[in-house]
Amino acid sequence: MDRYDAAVLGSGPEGLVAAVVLARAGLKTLLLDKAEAPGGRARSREFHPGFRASLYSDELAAIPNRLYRSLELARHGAVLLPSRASVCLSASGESVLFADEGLNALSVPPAMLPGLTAFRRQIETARAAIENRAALIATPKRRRWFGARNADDRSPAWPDSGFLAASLDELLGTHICDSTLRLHLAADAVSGRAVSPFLTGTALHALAPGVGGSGQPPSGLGRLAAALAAEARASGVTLRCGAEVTDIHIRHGRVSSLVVAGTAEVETRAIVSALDLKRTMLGLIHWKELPDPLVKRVGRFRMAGARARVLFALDGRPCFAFGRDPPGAGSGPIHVIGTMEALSSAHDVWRAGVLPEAGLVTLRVPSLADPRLAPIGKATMTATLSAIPAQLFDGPWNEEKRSRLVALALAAAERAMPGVTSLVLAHQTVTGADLETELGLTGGDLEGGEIAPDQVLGFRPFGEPEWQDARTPIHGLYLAGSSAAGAPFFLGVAGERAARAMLADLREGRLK
Amino acid sequence: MIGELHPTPFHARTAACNRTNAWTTRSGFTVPVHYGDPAGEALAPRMSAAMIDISPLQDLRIHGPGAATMLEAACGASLRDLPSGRSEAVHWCADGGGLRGYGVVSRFGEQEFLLRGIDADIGWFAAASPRFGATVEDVTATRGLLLLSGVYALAALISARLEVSALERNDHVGLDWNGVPVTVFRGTLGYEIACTPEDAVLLFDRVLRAGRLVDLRLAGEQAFHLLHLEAGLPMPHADFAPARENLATTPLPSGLGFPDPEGDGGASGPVLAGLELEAETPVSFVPVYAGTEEVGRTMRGLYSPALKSAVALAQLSPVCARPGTLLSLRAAGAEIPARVVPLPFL
Amino acid sequence: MRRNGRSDHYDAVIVGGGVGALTAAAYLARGGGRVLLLESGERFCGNAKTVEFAPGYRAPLFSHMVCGLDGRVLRELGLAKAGLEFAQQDVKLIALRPGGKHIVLSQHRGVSASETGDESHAYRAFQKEAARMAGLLAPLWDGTLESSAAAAALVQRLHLNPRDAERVNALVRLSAAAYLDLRFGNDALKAALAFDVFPSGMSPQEAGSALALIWRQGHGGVSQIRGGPAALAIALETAARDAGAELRGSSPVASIVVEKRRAIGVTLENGEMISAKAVLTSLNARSALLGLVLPEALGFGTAANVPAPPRLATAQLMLALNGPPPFAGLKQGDLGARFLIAERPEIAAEAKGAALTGVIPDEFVIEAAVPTAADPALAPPGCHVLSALLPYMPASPCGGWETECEGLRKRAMAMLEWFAPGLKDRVVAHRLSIRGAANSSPPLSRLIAPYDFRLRTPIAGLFLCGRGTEPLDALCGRAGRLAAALAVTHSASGAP
Repeated sequence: MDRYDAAVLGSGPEGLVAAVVLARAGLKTLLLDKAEAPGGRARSREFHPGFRASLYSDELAAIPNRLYRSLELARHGAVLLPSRASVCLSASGESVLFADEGLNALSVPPAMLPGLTAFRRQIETARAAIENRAALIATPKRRRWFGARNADDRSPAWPDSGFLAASLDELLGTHICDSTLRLHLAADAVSGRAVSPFLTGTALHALAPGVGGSGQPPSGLGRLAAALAAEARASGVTLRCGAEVTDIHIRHGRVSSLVVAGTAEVETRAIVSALDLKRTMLGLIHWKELPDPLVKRVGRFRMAGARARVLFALDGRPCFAFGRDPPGAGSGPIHVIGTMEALSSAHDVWRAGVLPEAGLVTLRVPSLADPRLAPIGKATMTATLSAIPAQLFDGPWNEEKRSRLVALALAAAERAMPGVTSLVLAHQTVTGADLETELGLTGGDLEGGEIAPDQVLGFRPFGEPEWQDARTPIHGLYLAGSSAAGAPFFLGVAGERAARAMLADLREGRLK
Repeated sequence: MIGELHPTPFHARTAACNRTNAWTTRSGFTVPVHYGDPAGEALAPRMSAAMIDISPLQDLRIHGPGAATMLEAACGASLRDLPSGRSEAVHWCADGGGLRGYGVVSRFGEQEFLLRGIDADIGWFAAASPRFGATVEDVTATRGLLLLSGVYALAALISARLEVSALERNDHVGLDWNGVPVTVFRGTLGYEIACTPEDAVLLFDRVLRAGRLVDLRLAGEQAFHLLHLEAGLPMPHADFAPARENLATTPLPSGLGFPDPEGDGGASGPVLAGLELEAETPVSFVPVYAGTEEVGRTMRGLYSPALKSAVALAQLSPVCARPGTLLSLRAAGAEIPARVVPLPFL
Repeated sequence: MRRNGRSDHYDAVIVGGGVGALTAAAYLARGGGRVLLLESGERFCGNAKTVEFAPGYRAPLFSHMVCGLDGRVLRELGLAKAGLEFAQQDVKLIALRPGGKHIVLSQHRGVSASETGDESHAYRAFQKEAARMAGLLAPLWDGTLESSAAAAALVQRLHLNPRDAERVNALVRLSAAAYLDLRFGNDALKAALAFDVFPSGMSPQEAGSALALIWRQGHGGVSQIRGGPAALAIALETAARDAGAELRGSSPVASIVVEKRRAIGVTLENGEMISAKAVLTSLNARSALLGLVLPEALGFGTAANVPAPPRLATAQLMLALNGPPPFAGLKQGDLGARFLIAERPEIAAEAKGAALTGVIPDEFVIEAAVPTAADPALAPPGCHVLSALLPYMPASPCGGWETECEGLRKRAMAMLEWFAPGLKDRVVAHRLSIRGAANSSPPLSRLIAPYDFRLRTPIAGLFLCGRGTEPLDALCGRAGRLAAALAVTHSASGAP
């Protein structure tokens, strides 16, 4: 039987970061993934000869700069190009927002500029505070197994209280009076999700916007995965792909070993799981090992996918219907949406498991900023459809339903780029069900759990002390994936925290 | 020329694209600082390609029977044997040994040379030329110069039907591009295309149109400076003060990444190193410490969007200049950790 | 007393004549101040009305049952002596289910139903914990904890121990549905308890609605006033007059006079000016600040931040019946309960979602009551009145209420008919009323903010005491008492 100091499950960005941190600390680290190549959600594929695109999402959440630097990602080739501009076409008009403040003076009415700056500053400050808190790993004085809590062990609070009580509409309304601009910012926040902007607690989406923030590496997110994997190998991680972990064995409340592909057993002192909460706790651990209330609690953690993607290979560059062809606008997100109320109805319809008539569609033509994604003269277009249930109420995804997704995407695309339908050479759809089968994400939820006040940051996955700072009630098992704190807001933070928690526990003798 | 500012031959186009009206000056020309997206323009060479108006680069035409001799005496390179059509990177020092400047010398004929550099030190060469029997002319204003830099720069030129695929590093070639005579030089940073001022706008339009297929982006002076820094090339006047005969500072060529013409003294003197700071705010011209001991000094610092950190070139004592060494900077009372990284940065 | 040639000078003048206003008037007068209450209509009732919608049939307008009536107001103002009586206390909640298997919930007698089995134990535990949580948070709601300039964390200022602080922090983020999910297994019971959050304007799935649930549980049982809410208004009017407050009807107020960001009086529409040390109003913030205060007196930023008109409304269907409503499966004595009709737990969230987009929801929640069961005087002998509240309605639906109300009435009737077969044959008259939500500011922030945050306005000396100031839309009177206290402190501190 192989012996390792630490095993990391899942080779998505979080798992890779965790593995690098553990290996750099000198631990013999094994990284396992059931897919044939590492990367998890950071995957791009050549979906048509000559045409590439990132498969599940064009951008992921922002990587903190200090983490980016320490992982040497630029030198491994994953230079990240941030979106230059974001466009929104709605029933009340069109609006263009640039990342650069100076250019916003050209596209936003001067009366709105101070409000926009104030809003961005509020979000930046809040995110910086969350990032600072994420860098802390509290070390508990004592830990008992399963439920008993020590009142002295209090992890410092996460600074998200300012966003709990407000709805997204109210948060935007405090800074911005123009409804077109408000809808634009709301679309940025909820792209790829099903959210009603009027409900309490949805302001959190503004802190972890659905359009991402990481930027795009050359030739798609696959490059990011390759860079992380290169750094992992350079740090000494043993990377084993095509190896699915089927069981985690627990002895006396501690992790003892795991079983790969049903047969090979690997002995390890600790496991960092970058898989989502439900798959880790309910899929890999035998239910008899966990107390009943815990099983029920994990089952109640709300995870429901709301995104679908359609990738298009276009026979030429589309022409844009908006504005004065603002520089770089096509390669950033282009939202096509009706009204703020339409977001709310889409949420209701999504809950019923029905495809919307017309919801939020976020388009991008990433080949405009990255010539590697399409042959010269041609283009790749991606469409992220929001509020699409992972499982439809009337049965599994079939060709006819997938073609409805394509139709939805093209209807929105025609609005932004007239004539684009005639340019389509090929397309590929990715549904929430595909996310579940390909990435192992329960419910097809790319976010790893609903972003709601009782499921984020200090309460992700749960608020009890034994779940804080990447730990679980099981000694030696740490959570690093999208269901762990830090996840929908930043990329790589959850993985780093899990690794650091494990190292802290090892250093202080809590792990044998 | 002193006290006068001129637009570059591409001004009509660059002004139209410079929607945020950000201008700066260099060598008597006004150029855009950026075209609205400094970060994107800095990343463009890594993602696709960037086009920069580098007309302020100084061109000296040195011709006459003594041209080769003068250049060889100044730069120390064996320029006599340089074949026509080839170029060579050179640097020249003051009599005391300090570096005065660096650039590229291209040979167009037996007695025909072109020296191009950020500061081509016109006065110095002009003063020495009569002794060698050479003539020195400042031909900067007689041409417009564009730089195409990036992984897709060659693809952009090829799709514009400018056949430069055979051009090697430090080579130049004169072409007739559908009626427009251009000279293309392939340097460290990319392809430099020179044309007459009358053809400037036409050249600009053609390259930009062809470049759209590979997302060629216009970049400004800010991106140009960052390109130099990320390539490990210190810029005179911005990063260091070039040596002048009667000035106290004499930057040794070895400390700026150039081989010392004397051949000795380079082992103990400071060497050029690249520093990546654990911060996003750049600092410039601050001392560098290993623990409590001062081991060198940084030059100008800039923020690199590709590396997501502030970077700077620095002159460090050789023992600390090994890549991977952890050092720290003191700036405004704060201590900033920094790491020595191999040059070029990217 | 004449002062500067203006009309009389009072210690406090109150604009509006509802429950909150009358309570404030009574308290201020009891405290020895000169109080003047100005009501634009003839009667002093505000929202607390009992309307005669058909000859001989009277029904309470919207507040057919009251929850959270301030005990201190009842005692200190002697409302019982002033004629206030309760037709019943501790009104049961009956969640009507198909097949007659109703769930009966009572504050004192727990839960009883055929399906829920051993949930009664869980219900007791839930009540105990909710009461305890409400006790911890009570200083926010009952006037003990004021906002303070030092923005210390809420839990610190409440002086909670770490374990309780953690519980409160978790509670603030939870939805009622998730909170009940943790404690109960039976879906029907969870749904029945969850719907009680509708006066907060939140749906049970929204984050923070757990706190609304705690508020309701913590403020005691539901009671029914004999004679409807109008009786409460009459009792308060008597108490106010007895205490010495001057109540003037038919005196519409034109504007509130503000000088240097301080309210110093009001001007009536007939031109009369009345000065006072403090001004209270039972109007909502929007009407008061944007309607009655002159634009130049209000800061531009403040005016821009005044909450928008609410998007939600509640509808009430009143039915005059010539016999008792034939609800199936009811036991003797159950007719006086509150009846909850909701087919699925998700209905509230869906209805709210539809209402927010201006669409009348297809399926909705109904809270029905038969006031005449405990208070037969509201209708002719043997006849009854049924009042059905339909929350989560749009304030201004796409077609406008004139066109939509008939359709809504029919659908509501159909739903009631399903549980009370033969109901429509007994209907003699009907009326559908719509009332907008009390306010549109975030419901959660009203629940976690100290009480004076809700009662103060950006203008010093102007206080709110009306419907929109309670965290939940309920007839309480508490706001009137607290606003009076604030007004007294204000007058004492810096009267000119």
